[in-house]
Amino acid sequence: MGNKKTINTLFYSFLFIQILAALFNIFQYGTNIGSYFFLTRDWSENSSLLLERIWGLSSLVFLALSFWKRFFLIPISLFFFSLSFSSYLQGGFFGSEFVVWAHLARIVFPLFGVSENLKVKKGILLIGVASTFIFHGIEAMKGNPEFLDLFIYFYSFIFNSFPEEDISTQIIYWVGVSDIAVGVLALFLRKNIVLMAYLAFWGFFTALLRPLFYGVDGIAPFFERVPHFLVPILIICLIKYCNIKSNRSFL
Amino acid sequence: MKFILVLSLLLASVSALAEFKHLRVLMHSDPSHKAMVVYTLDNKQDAKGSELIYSINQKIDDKGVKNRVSKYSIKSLKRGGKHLLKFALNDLEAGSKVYFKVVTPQKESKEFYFKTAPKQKDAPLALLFGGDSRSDSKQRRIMNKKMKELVENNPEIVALVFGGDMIENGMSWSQWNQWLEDYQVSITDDNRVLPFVPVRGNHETDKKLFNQLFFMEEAGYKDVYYVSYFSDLAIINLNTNISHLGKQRKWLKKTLKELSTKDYWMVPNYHRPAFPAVKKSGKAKKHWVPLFEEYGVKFAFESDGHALKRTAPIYKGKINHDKGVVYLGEGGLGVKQRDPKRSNKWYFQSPGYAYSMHHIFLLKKENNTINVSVEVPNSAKAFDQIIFEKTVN
Repeated sequence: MGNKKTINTLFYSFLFIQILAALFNIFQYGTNIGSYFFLTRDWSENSSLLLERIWGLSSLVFLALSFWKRFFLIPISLFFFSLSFSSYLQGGFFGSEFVVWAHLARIVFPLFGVSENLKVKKGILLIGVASTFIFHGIEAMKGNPEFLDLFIYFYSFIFNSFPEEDISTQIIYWVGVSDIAVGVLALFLRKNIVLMAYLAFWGFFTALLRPLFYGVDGIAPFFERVPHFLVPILIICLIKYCNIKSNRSFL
Repeated sequence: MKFILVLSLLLASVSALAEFKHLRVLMHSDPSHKAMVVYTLDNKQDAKGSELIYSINQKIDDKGVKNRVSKYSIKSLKRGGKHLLKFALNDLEAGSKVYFKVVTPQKESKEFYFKTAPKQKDAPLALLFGGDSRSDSKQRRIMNKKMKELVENNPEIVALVFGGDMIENGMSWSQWNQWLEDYQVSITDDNRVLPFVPVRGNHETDKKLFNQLFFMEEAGYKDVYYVSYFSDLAIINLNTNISHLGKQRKWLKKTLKELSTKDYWMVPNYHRPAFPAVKKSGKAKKHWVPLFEEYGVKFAFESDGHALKRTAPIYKGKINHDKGVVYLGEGGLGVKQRDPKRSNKWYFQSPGYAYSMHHIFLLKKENNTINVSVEVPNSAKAFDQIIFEKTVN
C-alpha cells in the first residue's frame, strides 16, 4: 500500500511538472498547436494562441479532476499527443515525420494512472519508452544535427576541445544503434531491472544535456523530457515493489 | 497573311514558354562572373538541342556575331517527375547586363536579362534580403511584385539573398512548383530577371530536393554554407539545419578571420535567429555570435520568426553602440506575420523594434557606407533606414 502511494506521488508530481513545462512553452513562445491553426487553418493569431492556452490550462484542470476520476488523465495524454501531432503537421525540424513515435513516452505517461491493472500500466509504459528510444535512435542514425551538437558540446565540456564532426557523426550513429537495441530489448526483457535502470539513466542524461547546452532556455526542455527517465523508473517500481509474478503482460 | 504570320510566331513563343517553365537565375559564390539559368521541364525530350544564347551588355545580336552560347545539362528531380534544364554561365563580366534567350531547333524564348555583381569596391551595389515566403501564395505574389518595383526603381540591385523557408513542406513538389510560379511575378516589364542566392531554412526539410533545385552540389556547396562575394561585400550564408558546432563553425571562424584581414564587409545570413522576436534563440547565439563579435561583423540577417525586427547593436550580451552587431530580419516575404511576443526583450530597446509586418530589406552600398532600408508592400516610402559605416583598419 505504501509503495503504491509512493509511486502515485511520484507520478502525479512529475506529471504536474511535465504539464508546467508545456505551459511554460505555450505562454512563453507558443507551440505548433497555435502555429497549425494560425498558419495552416488561417485562424487569427489571437484565436490560435487562445486555443492552445485554454487547451494547455485545461490539462491542469484535468489533472485536478483525475484525483476524483482517473479517466480525466486521458485528456492530458491527448494534450501531449496534440503537441506532438501538431509538430508532425507543421514539420520543419529533423525527424518531424516520426515525432509522435519519438514522443510516445511523454504521451502515454499520463495513462499510467488510468488503469488499476498493474500489467496494463506496465505495458503502456513499456510501449512508450521503447518507442521513444527506438525513434530517437533512428534520428541519431540519420544524423540529427541536434544530437550531433549535443555530443560535440558535451565532449568539449569534458575534454576542452572540439571533436571532428565526421567522428562525432559516427559515434552518434552507433549511439542510435544502441538506443534502438535497448528500445527493442525493453519490449522483451520486461522484468530486467538493469535494462530499465540503463533506460532511466540514459533518459535522464540526455534530458540533462539540454540545460547544459542551452542554459536557461534548456530548463523547460529538461522537464518536458521527465517521462524519458521517469517512465523506466516507474517500471522498475512496478517490477520491484508491486510483485508482478509473470513477465507476460498484455503485450 | 501578315496577321497569320504574326499569330503563328506568337503561338510559337507561347508554346516555347509553356515548355520552359519557372525561369530563374541562380547565383552562388561568384555573382560577378558566374550564374546559372534554370528552367523546369515536364519532358526531358523538350531539352533536346536547346541552347542558351547570351550577350554581354548589349541585346542579342541577330547576326550572331557577338553572341555567346551555353550548352544545356539536364537532371531529373527526385520528386514531382519534373526535370531541370540548366545553362551554366561561367565567363561573365563583372557589373554587366547579361541578355539571354533559349533556342531550340523549333522555337525560341523571349529575351531576358539580369545583372552581374560589380567588382570594383566603389561601384554602386544593391541587394534585396528576405526570408519566409511559405504558406501564403497570394501574399508571396504581393511581395514578389514589391521586389519587381524595387528592381525597376533601383537598377543597381543585383540579386535577392534568400533567408530560407521558401515553402512550408520542403518535400512537396507542388509547393515548390507554386513558389517557382510565383517568383515569375518578380520579372520586370522589360524582362529583367532577379537572380537569387539560396539559403536553407528549417522547412526545406528535403536536403536532396533543395540541393537539386538550386544546384548546390554543382556549385560545390552541398551543405549549403558558403560566401557570396558582391565586390567587397561578403554575404556569409550559413545553414541552421545542420551542426552549428562541427565543420560549419570551423569554416565560419576561418572565413571571418580571412575576410576581416581583407577589409570586406561581412554580412552573415542564416535562418534560425540568435536574437529572436518570436521564438526561442537558435544555437547561433551561443556558437556563432561570439565569432561575429570577435571579427567585427556590423550586422546580420536572420529569418524564421515571421515578423519584422531590428535589434539594438549587441556585443557580449549587452547593448554596445560602438562594437555591437545589429540583427535584422526575421522573415516577411509572404508568410503570415506573427505578433512579436518578445518585442519587450532588452535587445529591442531603441533603436531596435519588432513588429508584425511583411517586409523586405534593400541594402545599398556606396564606398564605405551601407544603407539598409526596410521596404514594405503598398508603400513607396521605406519604413526604416539604417546606416552602417565601415571601420577602416
